Amino acid sequence: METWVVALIVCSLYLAVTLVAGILPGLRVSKSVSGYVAADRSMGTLVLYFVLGASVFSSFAFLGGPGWAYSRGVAALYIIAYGVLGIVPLYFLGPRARRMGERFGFVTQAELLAHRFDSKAIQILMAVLSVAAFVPYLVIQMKGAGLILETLTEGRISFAVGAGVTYSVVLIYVLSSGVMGVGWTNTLQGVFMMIVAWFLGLYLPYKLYGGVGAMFEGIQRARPELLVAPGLAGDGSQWTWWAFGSSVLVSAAGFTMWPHLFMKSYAAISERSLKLTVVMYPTFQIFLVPILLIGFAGVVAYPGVEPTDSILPFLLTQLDLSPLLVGLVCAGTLAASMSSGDSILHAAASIGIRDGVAQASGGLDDRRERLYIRILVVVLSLVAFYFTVGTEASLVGLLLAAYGGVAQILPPMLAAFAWKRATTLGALGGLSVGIAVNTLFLVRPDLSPIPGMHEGVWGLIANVTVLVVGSLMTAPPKSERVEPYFES
Amino acid sequence: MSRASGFLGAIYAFALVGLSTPLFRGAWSGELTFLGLPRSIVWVILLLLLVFAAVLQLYRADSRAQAHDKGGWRPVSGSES
Repeated sequence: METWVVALIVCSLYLAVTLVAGILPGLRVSKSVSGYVAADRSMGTLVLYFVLGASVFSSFAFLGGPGWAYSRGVAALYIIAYGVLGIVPLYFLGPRARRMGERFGFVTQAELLAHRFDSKAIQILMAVLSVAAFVPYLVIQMKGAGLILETLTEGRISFAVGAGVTYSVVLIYVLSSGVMGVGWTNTLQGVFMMIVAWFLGLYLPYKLYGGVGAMFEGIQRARPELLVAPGLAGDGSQWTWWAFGSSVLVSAAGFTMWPHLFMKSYAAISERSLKLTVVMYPTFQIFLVPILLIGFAGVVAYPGVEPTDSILPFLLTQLDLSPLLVGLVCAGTLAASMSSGDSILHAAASIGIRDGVAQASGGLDDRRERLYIRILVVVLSLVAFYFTVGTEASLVGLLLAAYGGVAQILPPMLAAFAWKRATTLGALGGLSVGIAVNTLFLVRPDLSPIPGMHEGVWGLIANVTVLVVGSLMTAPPKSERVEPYFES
Repeated sequence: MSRASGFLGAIYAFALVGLSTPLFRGAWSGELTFLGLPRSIVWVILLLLLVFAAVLQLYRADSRAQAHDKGGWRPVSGSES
């Protein structure tokens, strides 16, 4: 039997198992919005660990990471760097947010800020921002699924069909089980991804060069510029430290502010389980090292592969691997795509309805809210699919652009818990100006005073300035509104 | 602020500078070192482990404090007077 046929059978089996693993847990939670969005606050440490890990390590990590290591060298280390810095704030913010969620019934991030700053406008603004940032993130996941199936079947399954079939499975279990389905499939997918990543990261250098050390010796001789920090820019020139450092900082600021991650604080069964998840998180991050080794493995052996994001599936088709192994790796890469896509889809629809439509329309009853969330899940899938088939941007590039917007949530979130004097005008003004400035420099990078600086940095500077000045210029908030956020 | 959170703060600040600036330029070199890995990769892994150790330390201190709060001294009713 041909390799691609075996690989396809393995992937089909994987999709079937994932479907079952996604549907069954949904039977255990209530049919309320709280059950669908926050799992009735019953998620234990193990599931929470995999949800947080697998949600972040996606097609972006599995395909984009090796793609960056292959084409831009050690610039790809920024992905590990921001993860290290980005997870720590959740240790402090997560348990506090969970406490507030339990007390006031919040299931989204925007509900917390809207309550703390007594502003419906901030909730609607966050809904718009979240959905806008989620669409490119979802597009990345769909592109990853399409790319892996298209490359491994040597074009017999088209990019669009690959992405469409994979995300039909995601759609079914997200619609039926909500966050509980996301949680359990992420656990399955997380284990699978870790095994595949470590295996490939060590096996490919061994197979092609005789070991990791020999591989880097080869790169040092043939392409030494790839090993000199901060690596290369997209056009092959040396990346600047401003660009590297600002990408790390903005991505770290946005890391736990991604609503689909932050919202899991509400799903945690206890504060202890949430803290323990943060403690264990680096074990997930370290698996990015073998992921990057996969990309480095292609540098000397197979120069000139395009698009660079396809280096992993390309290597698989070039090496004489067992068809079963190729199938398992293909399924592992699909797992990476789906484990983030499901979480994003679920969060985007929940936020869009609960923070956007429900607020703008003056409120919805529980049954109708759940129905609308499911309808939006379908609509967002279709929108993302449209962009998946119609855009050419690189996976990492797309995500970097989305991070700038999401990072703008960090200042009001920190202020909510750490600065009693922060007011509605300061928070709303800061967030609005931060998003506007970020968007301006994203669209017109030529206006940036420091070339290469991530646009999110300018957004954050403007955001914090307006937050502080705006808050000091307005009357302090009522203490009965603020005090719960400062009770230990 | 507890000692553990102070330790985490110091490590975090060090990692922030270490991971986003060329201040420790030697650590970012492409020279091959431990296990044949470039020094920059070893540097990033080292900082990851340092931050992990600091968060773990804080978690253990928090757990100890929580256990102490639960099983610790309580004023007996009426004993304050």
